[in-house]
Amino acid sequence: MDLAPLGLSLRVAALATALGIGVGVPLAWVLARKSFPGRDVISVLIVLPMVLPPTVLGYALLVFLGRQGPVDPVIQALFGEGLVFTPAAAVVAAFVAATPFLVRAAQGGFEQLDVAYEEAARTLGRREFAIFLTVTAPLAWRGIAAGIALCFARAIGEFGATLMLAGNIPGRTQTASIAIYDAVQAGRLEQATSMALALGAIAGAALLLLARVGRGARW
Amino acid sequence: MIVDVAVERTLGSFHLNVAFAAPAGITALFGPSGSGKTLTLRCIAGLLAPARGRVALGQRVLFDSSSGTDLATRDRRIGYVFQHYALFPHLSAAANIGYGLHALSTRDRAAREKELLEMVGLADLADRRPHELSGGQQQRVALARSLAPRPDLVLLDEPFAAIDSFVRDRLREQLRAIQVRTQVPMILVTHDVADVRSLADSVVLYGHGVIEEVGPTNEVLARREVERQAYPA
Repeated sequence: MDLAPLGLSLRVAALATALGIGVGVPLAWVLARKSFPGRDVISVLIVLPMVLPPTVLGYALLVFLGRQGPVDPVIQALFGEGLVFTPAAAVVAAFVAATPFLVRAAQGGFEQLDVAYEEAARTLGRREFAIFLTVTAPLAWRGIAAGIALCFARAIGEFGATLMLAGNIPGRTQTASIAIYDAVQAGRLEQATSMALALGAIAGAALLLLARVGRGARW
Repeated sequence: MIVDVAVERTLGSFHLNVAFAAPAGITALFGPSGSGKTLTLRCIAGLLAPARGRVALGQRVLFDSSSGTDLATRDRRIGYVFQHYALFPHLSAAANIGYGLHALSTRDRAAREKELLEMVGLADLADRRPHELSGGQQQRVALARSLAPRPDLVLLDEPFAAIDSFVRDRLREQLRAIQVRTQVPMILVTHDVADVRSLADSVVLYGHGVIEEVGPTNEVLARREVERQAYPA
């Protein structure tokens, strides 16, 4: 079995999840704790990628980030090349498709946490960021961990948006899910089967981890 | 006067409009539940912004709507004992007490934690988590935690409501002794007249979002007694 697509999928999913944590956890906290104009609109925008067909998501990303898109000049100036059909495009597609799962789960975790803990920390003179690290995150870790597992599992299986934004370049942007599609199309069913099993095992392991977290297992 | 409070705030259909001054010692905000006592505490601590008003602690103005002053909670130097204590469940009793001592060195912090644990009589329970403590022990950890950063004022929200009645008297005595020893002014919210009688130097009597009477405890309670005899319910 050619391990390159599987390796790429793991790297893409890991990077997308890392980005998802950096963006999604603060976003989830803001949505759980603050009320501001436009909050509902942002909530809808976050859920949309979960319900839209991945092709719509991929097409939207292509329109914004592609050669004629409004963001392309910025990407060119920063990296010297366009985003489309690069491994980075696969990361972006997986990030956009998977982060909503993290935001929803983490937001639920924060909403379940009694705000009195954070208020008590404030009366004790601590700054907001320190409070987040020492009180909020440790107490809402179950929701955050569930979100990370879901995000990774979704990211590693991303197909539609990745295909549209990153394409299908063997050895460069061909992730495992796309390689499976490719193999089936070409009648290489043995290859498709082994890769599908491997992908299923990885996503299953992530979700198993999630289930243990949900039960409160402490390793 | 140590604490000057004048706050106005509407929450839903409830309107809070109170003004009082609290002297040194223990002041009780006394009245039925839903009369705005806790809201007043939250305004003093900066956890809720009044629509209008002024909160001053000695010479320090913490909030003043006319000048736009609104000090962040963390800068107010006001300890707060929450109704269900809000002890951090993932930290030991000692670490809870040390949480507000982040500016101290590790050694100074440990010494201060020990000092406070001894003051509330829990020196041998330093490593226990909150869920391994009784209600009364949790309350004392919460009190020690609020006192640790040497605040200028401590607010207590129904500190005995969740305590078994047979240990309440002992805890009241202990709180009284700690107040005398530390000389930190305290404002205590309660709907139990026994708390007022045994603890409070002065009383602020709450009606529905307004204050009905302010004064030294024995005077206010005596007048209430006279009224009750003159107009029996």
